[in-house]
Amino acid sequence: MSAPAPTETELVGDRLDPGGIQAQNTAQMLSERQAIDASCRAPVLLFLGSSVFWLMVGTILALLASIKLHTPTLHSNISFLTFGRVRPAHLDMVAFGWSAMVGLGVSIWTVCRLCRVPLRFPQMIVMAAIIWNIGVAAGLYGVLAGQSNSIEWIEFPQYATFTLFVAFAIVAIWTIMTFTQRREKHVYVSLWYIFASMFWFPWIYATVQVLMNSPYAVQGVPQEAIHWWFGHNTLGVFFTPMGLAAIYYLLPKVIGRPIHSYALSILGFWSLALFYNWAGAHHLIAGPIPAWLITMSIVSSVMMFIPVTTTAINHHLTAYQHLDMLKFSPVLRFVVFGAMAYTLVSFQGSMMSVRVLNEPFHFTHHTIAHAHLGLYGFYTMVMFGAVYYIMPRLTGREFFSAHLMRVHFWCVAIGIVLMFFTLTIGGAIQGLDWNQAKRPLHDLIKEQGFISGLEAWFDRFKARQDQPIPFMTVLHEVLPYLWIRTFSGILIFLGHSAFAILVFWNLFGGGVTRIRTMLWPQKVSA
Amino acid sequence: MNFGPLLFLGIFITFISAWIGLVFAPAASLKNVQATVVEGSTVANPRPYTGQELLGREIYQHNGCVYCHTQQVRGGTYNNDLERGWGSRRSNPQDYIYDRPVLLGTMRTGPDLANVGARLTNDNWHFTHFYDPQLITPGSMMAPISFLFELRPIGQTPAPDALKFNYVFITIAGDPGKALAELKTAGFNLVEQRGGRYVGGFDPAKGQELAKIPGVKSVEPYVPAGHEIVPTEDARNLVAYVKSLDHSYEVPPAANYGRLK
Ligand code: HEC
Ligand code: HEM
Repeated sequence: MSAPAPTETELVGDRLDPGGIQAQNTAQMLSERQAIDASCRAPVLLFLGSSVFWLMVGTILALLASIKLHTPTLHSNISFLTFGRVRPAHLDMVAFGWSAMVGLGVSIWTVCRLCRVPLRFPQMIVMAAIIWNIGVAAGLYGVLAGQSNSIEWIEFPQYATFTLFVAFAIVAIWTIMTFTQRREKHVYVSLWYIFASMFWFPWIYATVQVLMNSPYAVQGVPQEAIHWWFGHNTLGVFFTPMGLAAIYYLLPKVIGRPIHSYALSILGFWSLALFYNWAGAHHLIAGPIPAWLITMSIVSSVMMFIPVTTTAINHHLTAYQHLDMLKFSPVLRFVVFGAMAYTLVSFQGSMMSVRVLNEPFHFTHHTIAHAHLGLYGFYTMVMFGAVYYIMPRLTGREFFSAHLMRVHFWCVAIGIVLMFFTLTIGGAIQGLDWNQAKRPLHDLIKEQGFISGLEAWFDRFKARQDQPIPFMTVLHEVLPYLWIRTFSGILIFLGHSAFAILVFWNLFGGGVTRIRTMLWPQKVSA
Repeated sequence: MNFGPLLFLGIFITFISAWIGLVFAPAASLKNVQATVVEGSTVANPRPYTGQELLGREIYQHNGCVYCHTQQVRGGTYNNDLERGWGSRRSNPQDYIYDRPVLLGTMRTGPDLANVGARLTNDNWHFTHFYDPQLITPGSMMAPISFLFELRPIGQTPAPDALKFNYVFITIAGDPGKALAELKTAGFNLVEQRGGRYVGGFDPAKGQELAKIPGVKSVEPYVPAGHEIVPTEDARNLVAYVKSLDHSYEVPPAANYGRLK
């Protein structure tokens, strides 16, 4: 797995549209790409390296949070390790430390490649990365020191938020400048997604900061409508487009074939833009906000079937006939895994937003399973693939151990699948037992055996009960699932450690020089 | 073909439409929700928070209670909120007009707190629960916030709000079943086992007897002798806030919208 698979289309041009591919394979293209990679080297590597560092921090916090949910007395006298601080710190580290930084790094490079222009003044992006790191570090400090405002996703104190905003503005302006100077006329679909996210994110971030977290905050529950419009859009119109852009770029590159249907990708993009933006209020179903708002969001959540199906057809039909390459290409493995998770998590999301299904699953671990399938199974996995693809091209070195790559893949793949299924099942039991059954599922199974216990449990969904199952009974029923989650977290932690070793080893000089030495005349170390 | 401006326009329009729908419209339509004045009195519901309660609310935010507790009562079969005694009616926009930020919450590892002030009013209960939740509810998953308390030697006069409880740790040699049964008759109220020791409440009048029961190896007080556990100001503010959470007043039917009751 260490040498790049021979079929990787390094020599095929960056025009991924049907028909244009072979025409681009010229010497001029090669030197052009070399110049682009050279200009991106420092800034993009800084973004990628930092993101991996924050991923490790976030993973350790995740493990702590997970353990504290089933063993709450662990280190409970240390204020900065209390669950209510570690958990938001985990979320913020994996969201703004890892996901955002890796996404921006990958996007900057992709934009330069697809626009066919080198990055102008890369020092500015280096600076943006440094500012971003300062913002994340300050935010981590703020949350752990007890300055969090407990607004999910924007827990960072204002000084950190502002710092992030400045860094983001630099990146967004740079991306758009690069776009206006592009030499490639054709605007490939990845670029669309990246632009959308660069444009949308500052808006949603600024809106939520001003209307929720400032002296100009609106009064009462509209705050929550705004909050979840932001919360959902961070995933839907910031991370998701960057993840999809990476899939749309990497799949054809690695496989060496154009995307299945270019027209479908356009439909997918615009329907996503239309519906995702409206989906936020499905986080508040049955909450104290006007029902029409929630209904609007449910409708558009269900309409998400359109972009998801089109994207799924496009991705899976592109990959379908080349699955044998999964054996060799680490990039493809992660990207295909991510693309499959994207389809799954989106369909699940549309279903979960329907009232009957949301009724039991809201407020349970079922939601957490969904969150991880999305941000982890889809986004993070795709970004792993992207890092494996991009880093060797920037450092000029291969990753030093195929073995560690396999460890990485299998640990995180098994880990996330295990986490998803345990929390999905645990959350379902939690929610259904809260809602209607008269006796907890586990008791029924113990008494009557698995099948008839399950049957008896489902029989009970008839009428509302006057005597709901006590809260603590249900809580204890979920405990075993939380222990298994911790186990899956340990697996994921091991996988991330392997990944971090690979990345930092590569960054600091380990690994063989890339085979196509001609592309790397300068700065090739042993 | 140059897609640039078209792309930009499309991205802008899709975005702005949702902005108008999900940000502007609710803010504009719920702008005039107000407290209702109870007829023939000057009482308005809800009432604004006091200064102390607001300080307590900050402690609630800083320590992330919201990641385990919601503050919204739902109707219908949704988790049977009403049947669980978490409220007398569904939550309503009016309940949140003084909340900045609104802390609805997304996760119910713990019970809903929208009306906790109506059902739990004892300071000492809250202090004990915050210091060591598992003492009050054995097997609770709640994260203790003992760092908001101070364990200190009793000075000239004991602090008035020092935690008032009687708990001991008991170590048992040999068969615990028999010893525990005898302990129970001697007034020992087992809470749970912690790392080989049994913790529980006891009757101070009969405290001396516990150590004499056969099988009991040692009896240690929960609070070391000559010490007291005193809530800090933060803890006192937090309890004031938690106790202020009470939305059991009636709201006018017109404001009580939503599909569910
Ligand atoms: C790890 C999750 C978790 C966190 C964090 C948490 N709680 Fe709890 N809380 C629980 C659980 C579980 C219960 C129910 C068992 C019990 O009584 O301890 C509970 C119960 C309560 C109760 C009693 C409610 C009732 O109806 O019996 C109050 C009050 C409370 N918590 C307040 C708080 C406050 C204030 C904070 C923030 C400092 C907080 N909780 C943080 C999980 C949590
Ligand atoms: C070691 C692996 C991980 C473990 C053990 C873990 C564990 C957790 C835990 C315990 C929570 C809090 C759940 C609760 O409040 O009940 C959480 C929330 C969350 N985690 Fe992770 N996590 C891991 C990795 C990740 C990664 C890598 C990402 C994304 C890149 C991620 C994204 C999230 C998100 C988005 C939430 C918020 C979910 C919500 O509130 O709906 N996690 N995680």
